[in-house]
Amino acid sequence: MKPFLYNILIQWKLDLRNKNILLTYYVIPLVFYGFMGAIFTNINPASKETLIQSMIVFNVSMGAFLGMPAQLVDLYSSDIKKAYRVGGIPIWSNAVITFISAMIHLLITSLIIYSTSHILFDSTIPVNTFIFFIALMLFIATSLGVGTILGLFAKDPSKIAVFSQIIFLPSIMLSGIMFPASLLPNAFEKIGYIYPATWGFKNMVSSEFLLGWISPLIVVFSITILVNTLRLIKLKNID
Amino acid sequence: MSNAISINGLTKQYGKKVVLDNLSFSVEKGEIFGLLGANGAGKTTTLECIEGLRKYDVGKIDVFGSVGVQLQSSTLPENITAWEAFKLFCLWNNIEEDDSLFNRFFSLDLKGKQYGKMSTGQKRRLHLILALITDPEIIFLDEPTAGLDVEGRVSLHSELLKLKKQGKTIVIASHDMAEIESLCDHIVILKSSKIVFDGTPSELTSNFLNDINIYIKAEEQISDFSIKKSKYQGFSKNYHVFKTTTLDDALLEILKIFKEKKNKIADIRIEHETLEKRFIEIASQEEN
Repeated sequence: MKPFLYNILIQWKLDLRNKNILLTYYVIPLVFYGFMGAIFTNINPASKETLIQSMIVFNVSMGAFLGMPAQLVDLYSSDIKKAYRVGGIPIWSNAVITFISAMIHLLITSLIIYSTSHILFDSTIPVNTFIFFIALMLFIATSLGVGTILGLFAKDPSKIAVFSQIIFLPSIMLSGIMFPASLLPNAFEKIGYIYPATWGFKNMVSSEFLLGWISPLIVVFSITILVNTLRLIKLKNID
Repeated sequence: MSNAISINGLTKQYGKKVVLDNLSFSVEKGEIFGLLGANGAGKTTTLECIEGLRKYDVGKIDVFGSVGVQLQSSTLPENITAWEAFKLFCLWNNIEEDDSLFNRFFSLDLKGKQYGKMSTGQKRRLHLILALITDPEIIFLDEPTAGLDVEGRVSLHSELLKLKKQGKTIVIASHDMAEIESLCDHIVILKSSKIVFDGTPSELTSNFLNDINIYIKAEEQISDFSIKKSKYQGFSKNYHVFKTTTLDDALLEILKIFKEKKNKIADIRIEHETLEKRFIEIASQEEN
C-alpha cells in the first residue's frame, strides 16, 4: 500500500509541475466558469439555475477527455512503460494512479465551482446535495473510464488529440449544458444520449434518484472497467 | 565456475525475418560479458529476450540469479526528480531508499533535478542506479556509456569493476570497442542475427592473424629488405612499416638489417591489432 500511496503523491506532484495538466484541469475550466458566470448569466438569467451543473460537466469533460488520455499515452506508448516494467513497477499501477489523481483534480475544481457559484453569480444550489454528489462522482468516474480507454488504446500523441475532440465537443454541444437539449434536432438529441455528459448533467440537475437516468452511467462505467482491464492485461504481456 | 546465464538455440522471427538465428552461448558467474554487433545485429533483442521483456520463438534461456536492467531506450516522466524516481522504484521493490547507492553515481546536490532537465549522462547514471536498487546478482547494461563524458566513463568503468569484485555478473551491450576490450572477460559478436565469435577479447585479437605492426624511423630510407619473420609494407610518413605475427623474432631480424646497413634508428613504434579493427574485419568478412 505504501508504494501505491507514494506513487499517487508523486503523480500529484508531477501533475502540478505540468503546465498542460494545470491548464486542462484548472485554468481553462475555471476561466470559462468565470466568463460564463459573469456574462452568460446576465444575458440569460435562467442559466443561473444550472450554472453549477453545466460548468462541472464542462470541467469534467475537459479533464477526462482532453487531459488524462494524453498523460496515459505518454506513459504507455513510450519507453517509460519498459523502464517501469524492468524496475518492478506493475503495469496497471500507472493507469489506476492516473485515474485516481485525475479524479481528485476534477473533484477539487468541481468543489470550487459548487462552493463559489452562488456567492459570485447568485446561481441556484442543487436541491438534493446527496444525489448531486453521487451523480457527480459517478459522472467523473465514467468520464475518466472513457478517457482511460482513449489513453490506453492510442499509440500516437497526435492522434489522441483528434479522438479526444470527437468525444469532447459533442459532450459539450449535445448534453444540454450550453442550451436545452430539447432545442436540438431530434437526431442530435438522440446522439447526445450516447455521451456520459448528457446523463451526468441530467442526474446532477435532478432532485430525485431516477434509475433510468443513473443506469446509463453505471452501464458505461462497467464497460470501461472491463475494456480497460482487458487492455491492461494485453499491455502486461510481453511482445 | 557455474553459469549465470545459459542460452541454447535462441531463435526469434518477426514474420519471415529471422532476427535471432539459433544463438547458443553462456555467461559465467562473476564475469563481465560483452555483446557486440553492428546496429540491427540483434544485440538489444537478445538482451530483451534474456531480460524477459520480449518473447522468443525457439530455444531455451536460463538465468540463474536476480536481475537488474539498464535499458538502452529507457525514459521516465519529464517532471520527476532523480530522488523521487529513486524512492518510487525503491518502494515498489520493498527496499529502504539508501543515500549511499544514490550518491555513488549521482551527486546528492542533484536530487531535486527533474528528469527532463538532466544531461544524457545524468539520465544514464540514474537508470543505472535504478537497475542496482535490488542489489541484483546479474546486471544488464545496454550501451551504458552512451552520452557520458570522459570523466563519467572512467567513473562508470571503475564502478563496474567494483561490482565485478563483489561477484556480480555484468552483461554489457555496446558499440564502444575500447570499453569492451578494457572491461570484458568474455565477448560474443553478433552479425546478421548469428554468432560469429564467442571467446575472450584477447582470443579475438590473437586467434585470427594476430597482426602486429612495427614502425621504424631511420636516418635513411631502405627499400630492399630480405626478411622472413615479417613482411615489409612500405614507407609511410617517414616510417618503415612491417607486419608480423611474431614480434620478438621479427624485431631482431629487422634491427639486424638496419645495423648491418649502418642506418641509425630514430624511433620505433609497435602497434597491436585492436579489437575494433578485428570487429570491422569480421563484419566485412561476413559481408564478403
